[in-house]
Amino acid sequence: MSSPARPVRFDNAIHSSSPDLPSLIDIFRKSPQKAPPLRTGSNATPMPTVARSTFTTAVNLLREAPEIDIETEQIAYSPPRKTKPVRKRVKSQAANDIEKELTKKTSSPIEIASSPQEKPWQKFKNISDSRHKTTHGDETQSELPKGRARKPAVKDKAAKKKHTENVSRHISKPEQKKKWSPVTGEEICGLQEAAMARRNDWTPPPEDQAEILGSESDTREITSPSRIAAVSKDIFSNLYDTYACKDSEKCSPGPSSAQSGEPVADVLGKRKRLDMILTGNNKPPRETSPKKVSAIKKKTRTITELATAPYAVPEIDLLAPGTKESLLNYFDSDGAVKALVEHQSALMDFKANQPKKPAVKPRKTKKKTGTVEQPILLSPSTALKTSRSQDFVFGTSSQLVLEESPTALRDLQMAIQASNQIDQDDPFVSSPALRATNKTGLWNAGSRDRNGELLNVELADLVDASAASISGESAPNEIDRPVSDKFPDNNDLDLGLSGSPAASPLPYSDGFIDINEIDLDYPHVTHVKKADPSSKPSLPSGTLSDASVSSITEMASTPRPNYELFTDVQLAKKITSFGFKAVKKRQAMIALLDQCWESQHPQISRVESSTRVATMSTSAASSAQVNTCLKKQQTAAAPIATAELARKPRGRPRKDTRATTSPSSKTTKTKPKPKAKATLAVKSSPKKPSAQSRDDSINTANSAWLTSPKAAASIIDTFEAPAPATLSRRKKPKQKVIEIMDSEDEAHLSPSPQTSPNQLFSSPPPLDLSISEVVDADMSLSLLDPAPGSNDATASQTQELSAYITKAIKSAPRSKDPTSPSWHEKMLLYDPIVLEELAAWLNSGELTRVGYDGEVSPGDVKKWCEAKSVICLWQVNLHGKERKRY
Amino acid sequence: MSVLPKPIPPLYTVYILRSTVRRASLYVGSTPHPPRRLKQHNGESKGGAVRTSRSTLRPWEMVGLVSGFPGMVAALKFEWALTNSHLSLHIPSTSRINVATQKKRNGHPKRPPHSVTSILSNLHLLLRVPSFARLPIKLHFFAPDVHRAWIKWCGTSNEPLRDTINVVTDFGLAANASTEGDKEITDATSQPWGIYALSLDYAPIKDYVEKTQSAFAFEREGDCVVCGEGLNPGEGLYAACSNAGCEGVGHVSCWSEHLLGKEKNDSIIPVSGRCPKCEGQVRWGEMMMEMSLRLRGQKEISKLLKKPRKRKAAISNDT
Repeated sequence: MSSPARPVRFDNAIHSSSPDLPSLIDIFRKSPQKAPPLRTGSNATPMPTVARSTFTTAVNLLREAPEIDIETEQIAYSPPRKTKPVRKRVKSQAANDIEKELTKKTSSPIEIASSPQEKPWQKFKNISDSRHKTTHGDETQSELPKGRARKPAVKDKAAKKKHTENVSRHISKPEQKKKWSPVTGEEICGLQEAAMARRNDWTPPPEDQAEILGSESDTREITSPSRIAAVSKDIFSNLYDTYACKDSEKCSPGPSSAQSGEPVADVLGKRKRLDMILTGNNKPPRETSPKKVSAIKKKTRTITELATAPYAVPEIDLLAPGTKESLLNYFDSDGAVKALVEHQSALMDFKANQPKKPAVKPRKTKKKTGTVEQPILLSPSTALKTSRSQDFVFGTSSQLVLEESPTALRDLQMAIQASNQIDQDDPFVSSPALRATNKTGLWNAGSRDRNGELLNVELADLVDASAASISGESAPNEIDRPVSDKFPDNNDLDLGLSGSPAASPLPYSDGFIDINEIDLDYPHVTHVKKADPSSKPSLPSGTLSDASVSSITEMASTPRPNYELFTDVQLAKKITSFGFKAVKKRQAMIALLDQCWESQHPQISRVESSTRVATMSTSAASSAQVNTCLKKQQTAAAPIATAELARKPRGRPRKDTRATTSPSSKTTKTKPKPKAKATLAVKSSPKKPSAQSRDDSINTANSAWLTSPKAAASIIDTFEAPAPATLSRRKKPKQKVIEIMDSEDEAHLSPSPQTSPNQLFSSPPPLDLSISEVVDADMSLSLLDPAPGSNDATASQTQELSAYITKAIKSAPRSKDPTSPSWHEKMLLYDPIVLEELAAWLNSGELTRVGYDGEVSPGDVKKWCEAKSVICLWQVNLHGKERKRY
Repeated sequence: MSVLPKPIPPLYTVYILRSTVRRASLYVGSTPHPPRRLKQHNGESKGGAVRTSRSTLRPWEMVGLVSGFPGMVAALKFEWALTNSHLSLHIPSTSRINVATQKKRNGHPKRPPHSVTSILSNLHLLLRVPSFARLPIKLHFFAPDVHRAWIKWCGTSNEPLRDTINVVTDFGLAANASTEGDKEITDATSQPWGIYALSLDYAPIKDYVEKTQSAFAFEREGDCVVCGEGLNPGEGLYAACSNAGCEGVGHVSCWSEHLLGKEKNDSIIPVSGRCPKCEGQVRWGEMMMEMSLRLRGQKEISKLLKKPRKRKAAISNDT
């Protein structure tokens, strides 16, 4: 190329990873029949015309560099050199020109790979260059590529790169149409001729100088034998770089050939200096690409584009550093991959990464928040939640942009909804027929049809369903069906449903009590919900009075959520929405949410239970009184989170407290007394940290609740009893309840959770001896006799229950299937018995079959098993985990 | 109801480990394979326990063990109860021997250190506790001094062990040398003793298994030996008498009723008794092991009954 180099025009350059490659087109212009090397993409690796065709040494290259600087000002700011100058001049053929150029291009990125600190601008030439390397034969190059890496990187690249760029562009323009094909031998010969021609025009520099890419002076250099050698060296270095290990960089100066050893050592210092210079120089060339990118982006400046631009999927360019990181952000959750990539890219592209590294680090720390440009990948459940919580705004981008306040739309929507509500209530707007079926309000809840039946009976099913879903083990169907059957009768007895709402709002601020009123009639039921901090009590009460209180349930605008069905994440979310700090244990969260729910919707259970009581008794006052009593009890129980309950759910607390406490004094009183006793027992039991005791209370509550549907069933059974009996019975427990409450308040423990299961289990009223006594008797497993301090009644109760269980188990029919033996057979086989399952089986009718109407808890079952030497185990261990291997 | 996929293991033990270096250091563990476990404790294999990892205390020896647990769960319960006899709920508070006097930092009571006496006393206690009283377990001693301590404790104890718990001793060379003449010594050295003499597989009941296998394979169950009802093959759980030659098969519940018949105390699990057909002594543990094998352990049975090829013909002639 004898003409002066044209100014650098990036537009002409290919937007490829090998901008140097088009320089080959310049070369091939001389032999037009050859396919132009210009190509975009990885295939294109045209040799720069300026590529040295001879082997040169580092010294040569370095010496050449200043010349080029002088000749062309641009060279100082040339784009990163893409090929490594070939130092050696093993090849003398002109064909080496092409190879030189190729290898220059190929070697430079490889050099970069080996010495990234020196060639950051040639980051992405590896692919094309390596390919070209393979197409060319290995040239004997005595110099190791690493040695070369040191030498040219510094000055030659800067010098040559620009020139190469220019040359590339020269080539690219005319040759853009043609496809790049690998240089064949013919082409090489042709090129060699061209190279020879060029060489003749050119004043060869000293032979040991490295080749420098740059302006036309570079092209002149190509024709020199030194250039050819340099190119050959490049080729070899490229080959070596691609296939050699990176560590050889360290040893490269050592094994470098003798020829260039000293010059290399000499020029090292220079190169380092140049390195520093080049670092600064590297920035400007790169800025052209962002300019280009921003130029592209400038097209999309509509509002829609503005709005959607942050969420646009970034175009993935595997070779670009930015996208690399964004990609990695997706795959890399903890920064490990990112660190690795950073390391690798640091190797490849030291300088380019330097500005990025500080940027990456803060990005790492902000990873969780994500950025709009790089949105974090949510899990499906969280994504669903966030989408649910979003407000959907409809409109074009222009319309949305005009929105002043972010909440304006939400407010608008709320207002619309509110107005819709009003329209519903407004009698002039909505039709009476519509309003009759409107579900909101107490008045509508109490609506009845001509026959006196409640209109909205279908709510019963809702309650049943929720009760059924919550009471996993129990047989809710059995319970709820009799309940719903009973309610029409109760409704007939009803003195006036209007009375119930009046009575209902009476006392409750914490609203658990309702069923306690009913429970009063049947002592075993008294505790059912009492201890239960969760509002699960309200559910059985709901089941009890579903028909009569369906209207009341309508008071709540939303059905009571079944917190058991929530996932832990949903529970936590709900808890934080109430303003509580997140709790770790799932049971605790459920209980807390139930409490919150109850405090928000106290009327439901209140009304239900009060309705129930009202139906059963003729004195609302008594029920109110009972309510107050029970409420106090409940309040004593509910806020207490420091229950020293034992850890295990569902009856375990009973066992543990009893076992761990010294046998407390027992009385022959009815349930309330055992309740107090158990309170004392609880008190003396070893205390656990409050955090865990809360768990315990909740667990106990759960256990209490679990048994409560059964209690409800038993309650319903006992409702058949004549009213006077209930009345009389009610009075007594009432008094006792009061007593107990006082004592409990003094003791200020969480007694009721403890005692409620007790009272629950001494279900049938005829059995005055409560199961709690039985349970108390079990406080410590005695070898032969009941624990000292327990009276005979307790022991007999224990034995009675035990006898019933034995009878139930033994009388169960044999199994016909050897693979699923009956409980008895399992015990005989020494199989470990799962306590929860056996208790469920026993409660599902087996005990009633043998004549025992109560319920058993898994704790009772455990006692029984241990007395019989049956191996038993809990399905759920202390931490709530299910046992799988036994 | 979930059914265990595995039959009753042939051996599951709770052992007492004592350091040969320091006789006061004791450890309680459980394993179905005592020799392997001992090697692990001594560091010859991987997987030992932290408490036995101190090289100053190694090597360890097993001085005694309780065998015959019907499963891992039972053995683990027993092991825990024995290790934490200060806490175990299986021991009634009135009978508790070890009482924790101090508390650890986390609030739990501190465990009083083990001694031979304390372990043996608690062992004696646990063998009488209702939770474990009816398990088909057996007590072995492998060290004479420990056995002596045991006898001493039993002498001082108020209640005897139930008679169905066997207490066997196997002191190996020492016992043999004392009881037999010199010629036994050579035998004793070559024969495995102690834990190595324990059978780790179903070999002891092999004949039993063979008998029942043939009986059930050819559907010779007949009628229930207790209630007389016809036994349809594969339609229930049938237990067979363990005595050689007797093919008394019956419903397992009938068997239990029969064996429990004399006991008044409403128990569920029988311990031993007589076969109604052959009047031979049967032990429930053994019967149930066989039955569980038959119902759930086909693989183990085939492994047990696998014979060398050359003798296959001879065996098949027998059945």
